[in-house]
Amino acid sequence: MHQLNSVEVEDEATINRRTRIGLFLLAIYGTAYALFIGLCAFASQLMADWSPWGVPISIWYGMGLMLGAMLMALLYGRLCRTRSDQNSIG
Amino acid sequence: MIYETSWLAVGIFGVIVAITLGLSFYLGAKAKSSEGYFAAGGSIPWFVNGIAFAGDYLSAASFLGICGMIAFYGYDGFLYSIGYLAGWVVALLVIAEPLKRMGKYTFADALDSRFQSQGIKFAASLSTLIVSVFYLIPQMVGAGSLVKPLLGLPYWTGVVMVGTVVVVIVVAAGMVSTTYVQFLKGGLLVIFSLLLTILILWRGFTAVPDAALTSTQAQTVQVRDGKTWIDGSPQGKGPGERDFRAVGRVVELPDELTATGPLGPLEFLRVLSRSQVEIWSTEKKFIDGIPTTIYTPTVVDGHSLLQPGNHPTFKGIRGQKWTEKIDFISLMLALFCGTASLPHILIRYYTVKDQASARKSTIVGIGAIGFFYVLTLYIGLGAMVSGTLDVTDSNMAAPLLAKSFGNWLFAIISAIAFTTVLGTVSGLIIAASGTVAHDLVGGLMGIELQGYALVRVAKIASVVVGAIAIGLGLLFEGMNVTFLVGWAFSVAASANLPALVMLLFWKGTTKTGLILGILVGLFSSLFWILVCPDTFSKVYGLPPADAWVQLSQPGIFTIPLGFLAVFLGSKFTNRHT
Repeated sequence: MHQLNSVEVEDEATINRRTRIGLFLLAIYGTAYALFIGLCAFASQLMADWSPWGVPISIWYGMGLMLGAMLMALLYGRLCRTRSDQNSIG
Repeated sequence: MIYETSWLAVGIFGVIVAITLGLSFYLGAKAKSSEGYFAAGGSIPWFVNGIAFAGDYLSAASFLGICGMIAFYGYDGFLYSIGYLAGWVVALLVIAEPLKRMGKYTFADALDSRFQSQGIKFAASLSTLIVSVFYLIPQMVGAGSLVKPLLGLPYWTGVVMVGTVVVVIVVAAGMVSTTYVQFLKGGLLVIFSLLLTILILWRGFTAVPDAALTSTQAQTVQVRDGKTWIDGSPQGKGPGERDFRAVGRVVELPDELTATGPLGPLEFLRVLSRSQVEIWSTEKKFIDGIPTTIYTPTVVDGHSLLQPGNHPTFKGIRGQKWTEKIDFISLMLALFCGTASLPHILIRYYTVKDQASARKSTIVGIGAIGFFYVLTLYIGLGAMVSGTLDVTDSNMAAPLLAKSFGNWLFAIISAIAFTTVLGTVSGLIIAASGTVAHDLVGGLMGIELQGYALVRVAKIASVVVGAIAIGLGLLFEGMNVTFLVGWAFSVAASANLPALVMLLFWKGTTKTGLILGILVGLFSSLFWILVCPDTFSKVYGLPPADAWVQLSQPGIFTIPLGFLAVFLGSKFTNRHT
C-alpha cells in the first residue's frame, strides 16, 4: 500500500528515454496539425468538396486531431510507465 | 422576450458559491505553510489535479465564446477547440515532467533553476503578470456580461461579485481551495455539457419554414439619447415597446422531412450538412447620422457551415490574400504553443507529488478537455437551430440553448458559466500573487521571506491583483472575450515557450539568453498587438488600414523571434564568458 504514496525517482537514462518518446510523438502530432492548418489555409476547396460517409472532411480531420490528442496522451502514458506505476495500479 | 431573471439560476449559483467558500475556509485551516499555500504541499491526487486542469483551462472564452461562435458561424469556432486542445499535446510531451522536476512554486522557479539569477526572476515574473492580466480581462468582462441578462443586475455587480468571491477563495487557502474549486467546476462543466449534447441529439432537427414565422426580417438597433431602439420602437416589454426576437432555425431538411426525431452523433452532422439553415450577419452603419447595427438573416447550405471561413476573422481562408492566410496560420500557431506557456496552467504541475503524477494528471486533463471540446461542436450547432439565439450576444448561445430544454437546465448551465469564471480567475490570481510574493519581493527585492510571512505577502498581493482585475473588468466592458484570449496566448507563446524549450533542449543556453528571449518575445508581441489592424479598429476606433502592421496575430513572427533572441543572447554571452 505504501507504494501508492511513493514518489517516483528518475535516473538520467529514464529521463532521456521519455524525452525521446515525447519528441517523437510531438513530431507526428505536429505534422498532422500543420497539415490541417495548411489544408484550411491553402486548400479550403478540397475540404469543401470531399465528404466521406456524408460528413465533410473538415469535420473528420478536426475530430481526428482531437481524438488523436487523447490517444497520443494515453500512448505516451503507457510508454512512460515504470515498474512502480504498474505496482501501484496493480 | 429572450431574457427573464432566473431566480433558480441565482439560487443554484448561490449554493455553488456557498459550497466553494465553505470548502475554502475548511481547507484554509490546513494550509498554513508557504508550500501548502502556493503548491498545496504537492499533495493533490493526480486525478483531481487532471480535472482541475480542465477547470483551470476551460474559461469563459471556451464555454461561452466557442459555443457562441459555432452557433453563429459554424465550423470556425471549432478551429479554436482544435487549437486549444492541440496545445495540451505540447504541454504533456515537452513541458510537464521537466517543469515539475525544476520548479517549486512559480514558472520563474523552473526557468531560474540552473542560474539563480535575479534577472531571470524579474523577466519571468513580468511575463507572468502581463499574461495573467491579459487573461483576467476577458474573464471579468464575461462575468459582468452574464449577470446583466441572467440576473437583471447591472454589469458592474457581476464584475465586483466574481472578483470578491475569487479573492476570498484564494486568500482563504491558496492553491488547495483553488484546486478543489477548479475540480468542482471542471467536473460539472463536462457532465452538464454531455447532458446538453445528449438532449440536442435526442431532439434532432425540426424544419421551421418561413410561413411558420411571424417575421423573418432584419432587426435594427439604434442608441439615441441613452435609450436603445429596436426597429424604430423603444426597447422594452410594455405597450408600444419592442424587444429582440429570439432566432436560429433549420429552414429546410433533406428528403422533404419536417422533423428528424432522435439522431446519432454522425447522423446529426450528416443531416445538418444536407439542410438549409438560417444564420445572422451583423452590419454597422449610419442611418440619418445615427450609428445603427443591422442584424440580417441569410439562408445558407448546412454543408458550408461545416467548413472553415465563415467568421470575419477567418474569411481570408477562402480568399486570395496571403496576409489573411498568414494571419490564420499565426493564430493557430499561437494556440498550439500558448497552452504550455500559460503561467496559471504551469503552476498546477507543482501541486502533485512527482513527475509521474504530473504526467498522469496531464493525461486526465487532456481527456476531460478534449471530450469537452468535442461536445462544443454539438452544443454550438444545436444552439444555431434552437430558436433561442440573441443576435446581439453570441456569448449567451449555450445558456439560451439550455433554456430551450427547460428553466432548470438553463439555471444549472448559467450557474456553471459563473463557476467557469470563478475557477479560471482564481487560478490566474494565485499565479500572479505567487510571482509577486515569491519572485518579485522575495527574489528581486532580496527581502528574505519565510513561511507564513511569504504567504501573508501573497495574500495581500491577491487582494491587490483582484482589485486590479475588477478595475480592468469595468474598464473593458463590451470588449470581445475570445479576441482578448487569443492575444494572451500569443504573448505567452512568444515570451515563455522559447525560454522554456531552449533551457530544456540546448545546453548552450545562458541566463542572458533567457532574459533576452523572454523580454524580446514579450515586448515584440505586445508592441505588435498595439499597432495591428484589429486593435486599430476594435480598440482605438481607427481605420484598420492605418495600422502599422498588416497582420493582427503576431505569433508567427514573435515566437521565432523569441527563440532567436535566446540563441543569439546565449551565443554572445557564451563567447564572452
